[in-house]
Amino acid sequence: MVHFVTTNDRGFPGTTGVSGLFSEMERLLREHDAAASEVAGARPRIFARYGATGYELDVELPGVQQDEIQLDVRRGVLTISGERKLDVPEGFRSIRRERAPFRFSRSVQLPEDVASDAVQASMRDGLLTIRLPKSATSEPKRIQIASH
Amino acid sequence: MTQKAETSRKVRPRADVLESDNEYRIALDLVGVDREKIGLTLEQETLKVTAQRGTTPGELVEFEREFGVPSAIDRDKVTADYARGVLTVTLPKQANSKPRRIAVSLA
Repeated sequence: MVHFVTTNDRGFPGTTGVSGLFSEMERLLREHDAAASEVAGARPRIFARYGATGYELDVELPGVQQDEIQLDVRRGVLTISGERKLDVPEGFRSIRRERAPFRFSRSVQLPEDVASDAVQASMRDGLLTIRLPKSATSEPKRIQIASH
Repeated sequence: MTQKAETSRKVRPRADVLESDNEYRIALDLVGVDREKIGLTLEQETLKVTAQRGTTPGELVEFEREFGVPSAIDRDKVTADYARGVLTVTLPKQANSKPRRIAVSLA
């Protein structure tokens, strides 16, 4: 499930006039989801936001260690993969089990205006936040007309 | 920066319950919650867990879950730990309710 939320938080100004780009990324997220390999029907939820300086993705990964997650950008495609292991510790037995271990891989086609070499990620309280800043070159540039 | 929550949603977090000879352990998935706002109350034989998340702007998620707990726990030694988006509550068993191995003496 992909949730898109417009936001004014985190220094992102308004989002009017970007609905086209927004739905484009949403569509691409959906397409790639279909091909993602997952087990036991467990899949981390991803929330995406768009602001003036770029995109942000939040991935819910409770109980996942930082070193159990891989992030790769290749040819404009961001791939998030990882695993949640839920081993029953020695000496314990399971009385109730609702949380599922999972292995996942999700790919996102990055919009053209994302600076793929500037992608940043951080992990806090089971939430992986990926920042996809817009590249400076995507800013509109006025071309001077040379006079002869 | 404060932002008024536009929607509020109640969520029943997923939980695992484990038991060893010495304790019960409850693990709940609570991604991105404000640890200051995690509430744990043990009343009679009910453990109630509440938490809030406001990380997604415009949406407040309220987690709430109750567990029936056995009476033979050491109520004063219940502890909780929040790490990597998982709340783990440890409920030690009372000393006299732990299984004991009784040595058989050879006559």
